[in-house]
Amino acid sequence: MKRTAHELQLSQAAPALTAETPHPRPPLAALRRRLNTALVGKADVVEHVLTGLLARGHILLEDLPGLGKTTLARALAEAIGGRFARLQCTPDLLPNDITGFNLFNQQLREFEFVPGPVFADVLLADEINRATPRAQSALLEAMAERQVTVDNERHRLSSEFFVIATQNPIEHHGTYPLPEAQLDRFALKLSIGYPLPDDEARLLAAAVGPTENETRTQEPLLAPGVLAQMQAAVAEVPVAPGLQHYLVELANVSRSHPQFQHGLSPRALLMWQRLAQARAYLAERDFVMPDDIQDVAEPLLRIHTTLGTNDATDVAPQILSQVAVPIDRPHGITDSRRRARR
Amino acid sequence: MRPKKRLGPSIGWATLTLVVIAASAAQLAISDPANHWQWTLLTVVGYATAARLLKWIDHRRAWLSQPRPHGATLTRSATAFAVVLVAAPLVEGFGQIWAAAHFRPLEQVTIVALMNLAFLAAALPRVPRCAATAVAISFVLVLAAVTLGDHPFIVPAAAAWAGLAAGWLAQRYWTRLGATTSGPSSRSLPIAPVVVVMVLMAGVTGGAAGLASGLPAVWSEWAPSSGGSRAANADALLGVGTGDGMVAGPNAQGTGAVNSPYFLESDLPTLYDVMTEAYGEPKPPDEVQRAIFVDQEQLIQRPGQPAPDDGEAGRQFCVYRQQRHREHPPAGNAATALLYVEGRVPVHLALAVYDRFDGVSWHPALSEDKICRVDTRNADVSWMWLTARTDQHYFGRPERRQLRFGRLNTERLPFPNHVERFRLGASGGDHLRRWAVEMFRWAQEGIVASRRCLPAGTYLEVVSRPVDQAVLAAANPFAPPASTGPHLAVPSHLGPSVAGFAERFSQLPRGWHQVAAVVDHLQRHYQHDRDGTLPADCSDPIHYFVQESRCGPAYQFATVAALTLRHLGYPTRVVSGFYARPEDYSARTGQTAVNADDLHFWIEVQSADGTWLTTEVTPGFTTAWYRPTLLTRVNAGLNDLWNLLVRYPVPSIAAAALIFAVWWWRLRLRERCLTILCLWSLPWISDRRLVRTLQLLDLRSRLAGRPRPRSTTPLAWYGALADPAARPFVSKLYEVLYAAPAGPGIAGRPTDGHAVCRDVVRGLSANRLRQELDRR
Repeated sequence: MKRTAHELQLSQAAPALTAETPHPRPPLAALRRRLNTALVGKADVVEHVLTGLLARGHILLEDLPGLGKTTLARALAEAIGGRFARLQCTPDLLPNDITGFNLFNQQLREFEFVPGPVFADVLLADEINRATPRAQSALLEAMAERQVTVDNERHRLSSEFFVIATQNPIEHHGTYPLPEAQLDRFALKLSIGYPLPDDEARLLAAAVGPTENETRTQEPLLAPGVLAQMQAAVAEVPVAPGLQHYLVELANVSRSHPQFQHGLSPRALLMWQRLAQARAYLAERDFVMPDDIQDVAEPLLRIHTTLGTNDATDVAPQILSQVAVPIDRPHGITDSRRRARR
Repeated sequence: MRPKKRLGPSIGWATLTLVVIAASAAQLAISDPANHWQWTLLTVVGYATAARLLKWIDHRRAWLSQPRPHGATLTRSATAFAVVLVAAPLVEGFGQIWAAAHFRPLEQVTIVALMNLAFLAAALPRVPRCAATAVAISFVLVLAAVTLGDHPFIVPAAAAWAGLAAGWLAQRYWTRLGATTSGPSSRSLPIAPVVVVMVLMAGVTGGAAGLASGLPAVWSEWAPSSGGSRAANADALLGVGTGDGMVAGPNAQGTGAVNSPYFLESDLPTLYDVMTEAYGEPKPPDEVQRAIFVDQEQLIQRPGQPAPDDGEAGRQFCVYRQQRHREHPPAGNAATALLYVEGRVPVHLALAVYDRFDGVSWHPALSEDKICRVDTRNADVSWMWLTARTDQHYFGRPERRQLRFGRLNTERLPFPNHVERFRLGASGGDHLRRWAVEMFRWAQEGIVASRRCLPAGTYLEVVSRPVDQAVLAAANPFAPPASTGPHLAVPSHLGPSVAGFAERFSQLPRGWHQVAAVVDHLQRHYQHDRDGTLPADCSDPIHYFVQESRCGPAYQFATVAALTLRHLGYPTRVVSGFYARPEDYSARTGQTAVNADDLHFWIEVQSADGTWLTTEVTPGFTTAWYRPTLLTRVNAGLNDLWNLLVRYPVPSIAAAALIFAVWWWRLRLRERCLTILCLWSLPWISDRRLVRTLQLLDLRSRLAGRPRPRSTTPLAWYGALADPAARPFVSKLYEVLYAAPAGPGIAGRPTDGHAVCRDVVRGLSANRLRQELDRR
């Protein structure tokens, strides 16, 4: 469901919604500011990217060329202080170009492993649908299990490994649509879209000046290991049982919906819950609300629908409209029982 | 290619075809046999055309079904249309009963209503549930047709329906599986579902054909006026009045009927013929023959008593009968029924009353033979009101029945017990007119006879008041036991055996329960044998029946019960007449045929106020107690309402206005109640109060015309309101609802929830909500 900017701001800031903070928060505001500076006027997209990052869910950006996909991915990598790698997918890309390969070292008289771009913290797979299915499938293991197997040898990837893939929706010649198995590895499918006129004017104004700013690398905002701590904290955000039932019902609705080939898989359902937890974490809240679930519904469901990007916008409201928001006391817990438990 | 999930046009056509087949069969089952089958076909074709037209209109205008991205949903117009289609035949049927006094079987009305609904559902195949509903209703229609009808088209129609339904099921199954199975294996012929459905339908059809007496019995439990066909009742085909037994009997006394003017003038059977046909020739034992003769002389001396040997129905009935050998009639030798009953069955139609038993024969009660006293002051001159009392509170509401005379040749009017009024008509009840009061006389107590025999085809319409058994048992209107009386006499030589049998009931408390205990004992421990007779050398029929045979025809049951109850001090008499069986009901004609084998005997017990209460004692027969049908209850309720309105006009109108006001302002009243609940809740019940307050807000937004959709979160709907009370409330609500597993900091601040609830209840009225939501 498309939220208005006012509602979005309410659910993000919402100081009244927070309980006592159990541990100090990392600089989320600075992270947002950095990304919003890189991608002007797309606060909701930035919020979704951060949600995917904290939920350890990979993101598929589908939009026209020149709208800031690569800029966003690069800014994110710089902001979190991780290693950034870019993979320009072409039809002649081989799996070893992605995962790495064993090279015979003449001096040491042995094979040594040359890691591929997947060994970065943030991997930008540009125009992923131009790679052949063989090359695409090299990413399956990396995205799902954060490891690659080369010559029967397993190599662990970074625990913060995060993929932002892009694809061009208007070109079909020489492209290979991502298979279901590959799509299921992605958590969110985002579309950036054109900026508003005012934002575009600001963008133009910011581009006037010395050209060295464009190539200057910015300082990371997160210390090493902080992102992993944040991801671990996201996993601990509690979810009320009623909301978990709500998620299950939504998944069931998607499985009988005509616009879905198969509906949501259990992996996608788990990811939906984790995204809602990340949403709550980004709002500096200690519990998940139904609004968190609804906020990420559209980019998440867009991954699995058979429709195009524009038509898929209506799918999430259809799914959400068929399930009532759970509004009842959580499993009959009364105040007295809660006091006794306390 | 991804298969389509929506129902395709083939499903729509298959659904309509299934409904057409089922409706044709059902229409044939309930239509008048006098109508040609072309009219049935025309009706069904008209229905189908209307359904197709409706579908076409709906497809263009989306009037009844609203297309959605994933299917279609019914509109309110569809619901209203369905209600009208279902209600129309019901209203028409009830209206005919009410206004035109024309009985219409309830199952016919129900089937027409189901047909309407099935065609409407078949016209909306875009809604998947409508197609399933149409096929389900068509299944019910096929079952009803197979059960009720005997037209040769019905069984082939059921078979065709079964085959097509199997294909329909398979198509639905493929549609559901279309998303996952698209390989060539799923394209094979649906042999398995076809076989399963064919076997099921063959079982149902075979069951209907083989258990013709069973399925109608099941159906009769569903519809109060239903019954079954006479397919399994071979005795109904037996001709009556052949006269062989009467002229060839060993006893010269038995030829009396042949000498009667009725026998000579007409081949229609009299009640005497029917009795002889049913139970055999009377054959009193030789040693008591003299006693009968003496007794008959005494009877002849009484004024008004008919001669014992004449052909009328009121002659004595000897419990000793000649063994009768039934011969199975040849096929096709169908005999027309003696009577036809329209109305609730079973019912006992009394024709003769016996009050004195001499050990061999029951002697008819004295004939009053005076002009029937009727009340002619009523505005409706066609009715003749009897002056018998039916105002006791254990009487149920009046029941109306129509009896059409068939082959029965009698002057007596076969009445159910406790008749209030009656009228006669020539045909169809349409030409009922006032008959001269002098035309009728009391043949016996409670038995009205005309001055001449009523011709075949005469309609007799009676309104009687059956007894409500529950009220009767509670009222217990029985006097203390009397030792003497006209209906308490027991033959002296039968006294010991009657006393021995009645001893087991003597300890029971006096009243209806004691009577019911005697009846229940006889019905449980003895068996009905229509052909059973007493041996000629039997001197004590009671002892023989109770101790030796333990089975016998209805008159033996009635004799034992009557004498036992007399011994216990209840005035009792034996009544003979006809018992209209529910099994003989024909759904096609809406009538229950009464044949010669429906001749029956039962008893009547007199209450303290003089009312004779019909009591059935034979196993397999039931007393027609008052059983209010749905129509009766609705009618009674409306009558009570009208009486209340007439008697107390001002309070009734005030109450109606109050009910209307409550209904009109129901949302606002509910809002007021919830407001009070929210404001007055106990402060420590914080979470319940918060949820209740949210319900109140939802109710107010409904009142404001801006209801919150079920799928929209409270934060999205109320959180952005400008009212300062809204956001803290939603925040607190969310903490309570969704932060429960975390536990901290919720219950520790119960007063916070109390305060925010109070603020939002007072601040966000319905008008304020409307303004805020409009502004947003």
